[in-house]
Amino acid sequence: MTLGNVRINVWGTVLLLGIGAGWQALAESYGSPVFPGPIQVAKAIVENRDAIAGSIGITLRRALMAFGAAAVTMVPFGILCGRLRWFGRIVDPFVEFLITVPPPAVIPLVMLFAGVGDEAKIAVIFYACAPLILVNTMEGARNTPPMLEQVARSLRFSRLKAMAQVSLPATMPAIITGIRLAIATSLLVSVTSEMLLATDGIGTFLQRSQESFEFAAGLGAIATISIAGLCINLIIKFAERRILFWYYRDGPT
Amino acid sequence: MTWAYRIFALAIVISIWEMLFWSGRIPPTYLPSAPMVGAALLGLAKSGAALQAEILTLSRALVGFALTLVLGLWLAILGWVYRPVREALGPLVELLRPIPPAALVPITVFALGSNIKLYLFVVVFVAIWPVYLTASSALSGVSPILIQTGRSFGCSRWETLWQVVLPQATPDILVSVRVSAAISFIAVVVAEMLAGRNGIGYLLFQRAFAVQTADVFGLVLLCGVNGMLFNQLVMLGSRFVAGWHLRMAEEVSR
Repeated sequence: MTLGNVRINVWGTVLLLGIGAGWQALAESYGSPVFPGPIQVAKAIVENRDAIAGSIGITLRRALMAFGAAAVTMVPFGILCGRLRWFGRIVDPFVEFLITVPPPAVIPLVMLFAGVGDEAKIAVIFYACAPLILVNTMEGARNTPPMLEQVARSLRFSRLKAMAQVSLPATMPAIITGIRLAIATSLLVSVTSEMLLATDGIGTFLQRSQESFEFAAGLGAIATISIAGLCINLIIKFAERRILFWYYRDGPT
Repeated sequence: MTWAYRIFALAIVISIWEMLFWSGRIPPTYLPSAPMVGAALLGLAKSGAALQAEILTLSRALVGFALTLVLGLWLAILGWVYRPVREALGPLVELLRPIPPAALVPITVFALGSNIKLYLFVVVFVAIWPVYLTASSALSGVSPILIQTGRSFGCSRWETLWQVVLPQATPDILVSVRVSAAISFIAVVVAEMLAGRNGIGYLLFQRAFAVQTADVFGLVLLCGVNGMLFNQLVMLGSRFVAGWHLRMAEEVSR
């Protein structure tokens, strides 16, 4: 169904409202604080708005810092590994192994070295993001169509100019894929690290509310994470369309 | 050739590791040497603790992963056959997808208790999205010409699905199956860390709090090996299900 320029997903809205109503009805019939309905959860969010806003801010800041560090180091490193074949071959097995060690498993190890503070959490998030960006950038740099490079050469581009105007744009779709995955991962791992190394942030808020049997506040924290993740995904989608408009316009080559 | 590079990489890591250890800058409580970690792993294996944890964690992850696959594919197929189902699930999926497994654990422990149900719920909740999303876009991406060809051979809608659409979508779906397998294992380890009384995740935290560094290193390595094992398992399964496609891709690349 369309209203003016806006497309409305009727079935999706119906399902969401239906689930909400069913949940509320079920909660009402139980009538216990252990089983809050969506209205109680919304109330809990409003009551704890300062704590929740502060916590999610801390969580997002850490996620962003670690992601930024990973992007700044791994994009150039990935291009290097992709362009220098022999170097890439040496790096490959390291990445292969690192990718199989799940980030949460590293948390106890990091805890021994860096304690439970900011540095420890940022290190874990960095560890989770870095391979995603690295692998995708490497693949992209390796698979640059040789035709493009030959065109640059026959136009007598200098090496630097060819890198900036041909190689980088050609690798861009792959880099963006890695970045998209890494941003989503950074939020997930940020929350996880806060729950395991509880000091502050939305993960800790969530755990504290559960421990003190404030289930509505706990669910409120989960809802906040979900909405924050949704917003981030939408922003990335929008930015991707903006940056890679030529890629989507011409279709993948 | 790849193996030569792998062994070379391993040799580099171990020699840097040993150099760090023997330089004496980092106390062995924090950084045990490679043989110490090996000995710790052997000790864990002998005491039976690691083996028991390994079996528990792997079985939880495998059962959860199987359930995830069945549910995810079934949902995607349902969405292909009845378009409104796919439309309706869209916004819900976008809302549920960003929730990390760890966030679900405390409330699930309260609702379901700390048993196999907890692990299955958490695994399915977080690992189903890659399978569902990829499968449903792969199914709807199958060329209409193929579907019409199936139709003109007199296939019903379900027959078209089984004989034409699913085989065509299988290679894409298999990629997401690998992602889901990895997520299943991670989710189980996280749930064990937060709520478990056994399993690799629990053992990891217990040893870390006891500052048994060599054990912790050994268990992290074990997690890596498990990840590879899971990956190989899925690859084997893919060869079984879609060997024809992989062989074709190899022919083309040659």
